[in-house]
Amino acid sequence: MREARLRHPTVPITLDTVIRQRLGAGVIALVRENRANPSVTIRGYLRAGALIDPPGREGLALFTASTLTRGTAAYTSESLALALDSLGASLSVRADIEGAAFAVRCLAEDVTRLLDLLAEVLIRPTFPPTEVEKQRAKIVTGIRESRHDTRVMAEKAFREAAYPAAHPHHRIPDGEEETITAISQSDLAGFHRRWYQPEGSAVAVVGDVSAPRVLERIEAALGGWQGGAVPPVPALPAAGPATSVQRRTIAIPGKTQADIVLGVPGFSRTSPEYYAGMMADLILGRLGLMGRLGAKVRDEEGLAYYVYSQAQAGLLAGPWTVRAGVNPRNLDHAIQGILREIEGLQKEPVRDGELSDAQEFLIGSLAVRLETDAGIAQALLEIELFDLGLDYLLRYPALVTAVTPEEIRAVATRYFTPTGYTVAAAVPA
Amino acid sequence: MMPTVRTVLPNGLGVLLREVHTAPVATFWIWYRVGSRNEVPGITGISHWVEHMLFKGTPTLGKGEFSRLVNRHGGTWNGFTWKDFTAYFETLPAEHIGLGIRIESDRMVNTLFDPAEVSSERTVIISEREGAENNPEYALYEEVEGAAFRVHPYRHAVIGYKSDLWAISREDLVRHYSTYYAPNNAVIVAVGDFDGAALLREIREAFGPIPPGPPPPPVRSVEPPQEGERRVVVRRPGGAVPLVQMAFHAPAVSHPDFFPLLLVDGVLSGFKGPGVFGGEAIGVRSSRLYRALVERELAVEAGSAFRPSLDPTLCEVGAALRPGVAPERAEAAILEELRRISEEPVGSEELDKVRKQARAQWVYTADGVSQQAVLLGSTEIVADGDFLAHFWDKVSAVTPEVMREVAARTFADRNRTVGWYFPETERTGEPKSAVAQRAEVARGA
Repeated sequence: MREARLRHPTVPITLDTVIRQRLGAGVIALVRENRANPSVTIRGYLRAGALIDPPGREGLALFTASTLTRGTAAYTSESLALALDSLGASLSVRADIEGAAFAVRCLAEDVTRLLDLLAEVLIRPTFPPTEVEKQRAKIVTGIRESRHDTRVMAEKAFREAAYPAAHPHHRIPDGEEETITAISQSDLAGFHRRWYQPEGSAVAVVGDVSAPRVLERIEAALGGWQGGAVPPVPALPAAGPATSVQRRTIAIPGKTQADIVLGVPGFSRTSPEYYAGMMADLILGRLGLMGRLGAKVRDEEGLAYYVYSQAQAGLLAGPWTVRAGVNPRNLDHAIQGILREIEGLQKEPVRDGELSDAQEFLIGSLAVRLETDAGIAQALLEIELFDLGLDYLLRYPALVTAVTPEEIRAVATRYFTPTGYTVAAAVPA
Repeated sequence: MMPTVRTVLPNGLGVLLREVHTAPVATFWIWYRVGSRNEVPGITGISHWVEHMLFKGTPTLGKGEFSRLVNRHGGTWNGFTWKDFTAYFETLPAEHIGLGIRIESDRMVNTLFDPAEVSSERTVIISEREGAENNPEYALYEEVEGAAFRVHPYRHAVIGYKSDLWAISREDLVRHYSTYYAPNNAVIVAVGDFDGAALLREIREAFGPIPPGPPPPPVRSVEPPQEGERRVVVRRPGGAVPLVQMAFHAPAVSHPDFFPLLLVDGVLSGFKGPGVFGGEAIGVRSSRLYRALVERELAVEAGSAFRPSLDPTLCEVGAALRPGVAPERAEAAILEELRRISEEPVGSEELDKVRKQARAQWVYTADGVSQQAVLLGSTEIVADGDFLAHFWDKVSAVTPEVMREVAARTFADRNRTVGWYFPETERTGEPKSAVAQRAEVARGA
């Protein structure tokens, strides 16, 4: 049982197996060859997330990202779709709170073509007015649909109560109907010009490629991308641990199940508490069948099909939450059960080998997480974004095994207190 | 893709092993030939419930220990139930693949069905159903499926009817388990970084001593031909936009019309992949339904679905409409596309596009051991080994004229079931915004 920890892990990302290069205008290119399968995965990020949405234009980052493939200097929306579909390839750009991310998948024979199409989409979008209107209508419909979605509404109510109004996590990144309606074509083009910069962005290519050759192709496609200085990100208000209990209830007609979000502002990926926090989160509501929460609230009491915890540790301290779906008559009972498990984590941070279970899971599961091209590309980007170094996976086991029960207690106690959390529920009207 | 070695043990257990040495991982699956297809009224949802009970422990591995054991060795696990099958898997660092053998050989015969566990799981499953009921698209689909099939058990959803979920007893569950969980009704699939001969020895050792059961009862009901259009309407709050869904009786995987219709579906909304599951659709935005409905601003989403199944199934078309668009208009636009593909042969450029999507999906499926195991296992249950071996010959042999004929047969008026969903707002009003509601909470509750 213990040999996994002692064995030197086989990791696909090391200084020897990955090429990392800064291209002309500042894009970081990462390439990992994997000749197992004649396909290629390309992933990347830009510093163009909703955290820089201007007030009154909430949703601008997502709107911009989703319109990039709807027309470029050389392609109409339809001709770009036809070009991609005729290659059996996919190319998408999405934004979330902290950044924009792109994803490409293609057959190895088409990688040069896809890099050119990617450059076209990232560098030369034209935001054609008719396409902007189509996207706007789609986004607005999505927002109207989400008002009927108990999970989304519980999430929104939680964020509004748990984070101060000027904080990016105060809202979900989609925007509101009024702010989407207020966004003009020149807002989209301006956001793109200002924030889609080579500096601070990265592209990872994994799959059936020759690394030197594909680097040349990336350079040819993206090397000429000229950008200005990346504007400074506006200062963000701090969101510390909560100091009071806040409850929100939203009633939605036509529903059977209630959805709950209970939590606090958590920790960032670069926080010194990150590893202890992840371990606490695993023990509380992830490991095995959704951790202690699953064992108690689902398995023993039969209250919920899903109940789990999740700490969103990014550039910012994202929410650390427990989510559950229950029959409305069990709402209070389930909330009490969740709170009891949180208190239990503070009183008894680890029991019955939970710590070694969590540590061995994190270390052992690296192989499983990194077995696909997409898994490797995602890990490369995380290493780049948080400046972890290409030897990170070799150092990772030591970082994980260093966490002590006392550190887990400390992090659980610091973030969750019996008098400081937010609970939001969307219930049938 | 790497070759697959197939074996049948003397007790009838099928074993498919594929060595893949590109990453130090392996995945172990067991597929049972039981799903909601094997259920009759009164016990709908029982296959799925039995699946849940297989995580509740055996005399040697207590509740929660399967998942804990797998996690502790760096693995992931799950189980799922579909109309034609129930499957369980463990994906692990390759050296721990034996855990999959240990767990699956144990719970194939030793699952406990503790009465207290049966009772707590009843409400978990009802909660799972209620979560789905929150979604109007699910509610409409349940009606459309129920109307399209009058006789065959594909008419009910895998989760089952709520009244049955309240009524199913421990004895029902145990009977279902002992009827269908036996080596002669199962197939093992393992893919990954192992030595096939050695793994087969371990599998023989663990599963070989389990005696075969009596052959499970066949599904008797056969859906009679439909003799005219059927329509259903769902009106309820809970959604923002109207939905239109259509379902057409469509061939099982064994029928000669299957491959032509798979390509027809690709032309309509992009090719989805060779298997029963998996593979995000590729080619959506240049597809006919997207152009006719989304590009023309009638719908925010439009698509179709047709996948391999054991018995004759449904080919489905659906759209979520733009606010203010009448369902009649969207329905007419869909029917126009179905008429066109039934009357005019698809051009060679368009067919080449869909064939390239099929080739790409085939290649993408080989990235990762789990996807390969899903493809192998699910097609082994609904078809047989020939399905994947001849997939390319069959796809290549399809001609535009045959596609047209098959489309004309499938999309005939008499073969159609249409469902409309109308979001009802008058009865209960629009949901209140979070802001307004918060003010109320602050005042009262």
